[in-house]
Amino acid sequence: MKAKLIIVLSTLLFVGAAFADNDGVSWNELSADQQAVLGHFSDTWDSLPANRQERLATGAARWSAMTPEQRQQAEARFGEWRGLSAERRELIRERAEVFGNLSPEEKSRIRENYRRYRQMDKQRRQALRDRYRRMSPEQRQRLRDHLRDRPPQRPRDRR
Amino acid sequence: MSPEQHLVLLACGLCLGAAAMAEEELPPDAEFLEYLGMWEETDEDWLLLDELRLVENMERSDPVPEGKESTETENES
Repeated sequence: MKAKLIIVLSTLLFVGAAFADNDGVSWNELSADQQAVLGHFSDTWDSLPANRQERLATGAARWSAMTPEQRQQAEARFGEWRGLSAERRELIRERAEVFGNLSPEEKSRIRENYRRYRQMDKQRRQALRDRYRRMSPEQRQRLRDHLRDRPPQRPRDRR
Repeated sequence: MSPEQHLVLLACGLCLGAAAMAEEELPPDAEFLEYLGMWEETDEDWLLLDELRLVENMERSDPVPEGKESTETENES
């Protein structure tokens, strides 16, 4: 199990490194798991655009590393994603670019805050939004400062 | 073996083969794999980014003066 995890992590790091120079990914650079998932592309792989190779290779690596339950959840999210309007998807993609340019610390902080937010039930999340909406600009700024300055949560506090 | 018995055996073989193939998990389609691969860390990223969009919309809406409450509502979707 540990060995498999190391192989998956190595694959992801390798794929990440391959993306850095944006030259696409050659078929031989793919792991056996990725090649198995992408089998029907074996003959046409070299003709695919580099960015498509990258997305497919990353997607195949992520799929291979998922448990059956994670796969089901990802398929459900994919269904939701496909149900969004083209405009909303484009807005999300734009934010993905902005988010990608943040520092690792900022990204980590946002992910941590979002993780905690997701743990709340729907009613509490709505109440939080309503509360935020009622805040003055000064109160919102104080809240942002507070969230930024708060020390990261210790692992043992996580549920 | 009669031709009828041959046919029955062949049909059984085909049925067993089809059942075995159905049990094997098919690889996901390309659109789904591309979707999985388009996010920086995980496909859950888009839920976070969508939530940020809602917060931005709230920021853009007229902020209420301190001490007063807004009457706007926004549904989670």
